[in-house]
Amino acid sequence: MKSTKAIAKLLLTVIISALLLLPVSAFAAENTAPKHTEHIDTTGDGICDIEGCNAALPCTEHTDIDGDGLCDIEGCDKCLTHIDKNSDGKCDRDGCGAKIVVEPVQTTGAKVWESVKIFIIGMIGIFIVVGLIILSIYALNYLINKAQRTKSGEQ
Amino acid sequence: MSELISIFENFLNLNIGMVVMWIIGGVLIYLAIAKDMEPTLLLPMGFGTILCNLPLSGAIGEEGPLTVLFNAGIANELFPLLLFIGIGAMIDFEPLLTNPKLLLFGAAAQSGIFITMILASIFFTLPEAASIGIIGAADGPTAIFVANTLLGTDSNITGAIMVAAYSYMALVPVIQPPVIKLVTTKKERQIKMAYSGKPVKKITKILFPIVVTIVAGLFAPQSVALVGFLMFGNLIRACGVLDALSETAQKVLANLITIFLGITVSVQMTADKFLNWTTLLIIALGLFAFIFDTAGGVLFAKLVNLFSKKKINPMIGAAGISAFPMSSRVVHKLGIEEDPSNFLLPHTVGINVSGQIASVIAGGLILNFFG
Repeated sequence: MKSTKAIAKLLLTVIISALLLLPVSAFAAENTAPKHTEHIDTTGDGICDIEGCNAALPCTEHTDIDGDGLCDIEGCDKCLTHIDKNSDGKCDRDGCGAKIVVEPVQTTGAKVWESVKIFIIGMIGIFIVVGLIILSIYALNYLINKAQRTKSGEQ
Repeated sequence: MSELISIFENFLNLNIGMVVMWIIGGVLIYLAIAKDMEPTLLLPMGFGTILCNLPLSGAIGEEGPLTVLFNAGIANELFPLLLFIGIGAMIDFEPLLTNPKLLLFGAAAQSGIFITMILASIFFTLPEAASIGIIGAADGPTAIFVANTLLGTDSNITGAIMVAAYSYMALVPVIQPPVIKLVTTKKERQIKMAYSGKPVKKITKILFPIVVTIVAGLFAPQSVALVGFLMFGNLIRACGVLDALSETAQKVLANLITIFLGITVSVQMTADKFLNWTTLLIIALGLFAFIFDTAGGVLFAKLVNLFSKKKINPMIGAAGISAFPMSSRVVHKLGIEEDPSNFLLPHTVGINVSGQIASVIAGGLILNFFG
């Protein structure tokens, strides 16, 4: 009994400590982050000009003026239009290699099976809804008759 | 002279496809007038088909009135919903409220929608297959609403779906009897059914549309527009204090929207969209939908008979198809042919109106699956 209470107290202490430590650690993490969060590139070379930073600045608004599928902003060259000529699921452009997600085409068998499932669920669904409507009508009739009998009884 | 020649310039824009569509439009008009087959819809559709298939027709295109109407009422599914108010106001649910279990037959008769969807999925994508399957709802507004929602207005198959839906509704007296006879025996068709019509209280008739909307809406939120507008129309009728509105909904509103709907759906029936093997396939699948609906309702009734002491005439299951009131009369007529003393109409009308509710629920559930 005493040991159980002790274990419970210990567990409670651990839980409360963890809950208290969470915001503390978050605060600490925030305060050890680099002091500036907004990079500035005055020279237009794609690198942050704040002393000691030198972070490469990502281009946020890509523009493809010449229609080659690549961003034309200096230093960006991000692939905007993926090409997969060899159908390997990856973009063929040099330096891109992004995975191209292709929506799977349902086979006839899959479609038929899906529609069989919809048939079963659909018919069950119709019977459930219709069954509830039937019960509601019976309940309505019962309540109305009861109300009328009560009213005529009072009279 | 050149001005005289310029009068005939438009003939150069004519092609064989347009001429074929004129013939199709003419056939629809003929069926409407000479055979009295759903004239309220087939005639406007037929004439609209001709309007849309004249070379450089001013009726369609960016500023064409039919295109404007299409965008105003069909692309946003407004016309079918407004028509549902009128349909709801026309329906008397009393036969159903007398025996609520009849709703089960209406539910069973929607099996054709899903069976057709399975067949259609062999040839089409799933949303397309579902839109084709909904022809089996035997309800034009539901078919238009679901097809437009799933496929959008640019699809090449919505025109074929609409033509199939409305044409087969008119062909119910031709389609149903052979199917019913195929799945029943003569002895089953001769089963007599007595009718004990219990009076239905007015409060029940008022609360019914509200309850149906809430229940259906909770399970199939996408069906709220369809079910809600249908039940709103019915509530206007049932409440007893809005006779003028009820009459307007049943006559003026329904007729007005029918005119716009009929002539406007033809925007989807241009030669380039309509004349292809896909259209024929859709029309064939639409026929399957009606056949399986009929068979589904009858077979369900036969299943009920296995567990029921008091046998029911299984033909009444076929009335669960939503083609109201034609299907109920077809089954009743078949019953009289088998036994002149057998009066099935009160039962078939109840099941027929239940089919209207069940078809709308089915449409909503399909939208839920793909929404």
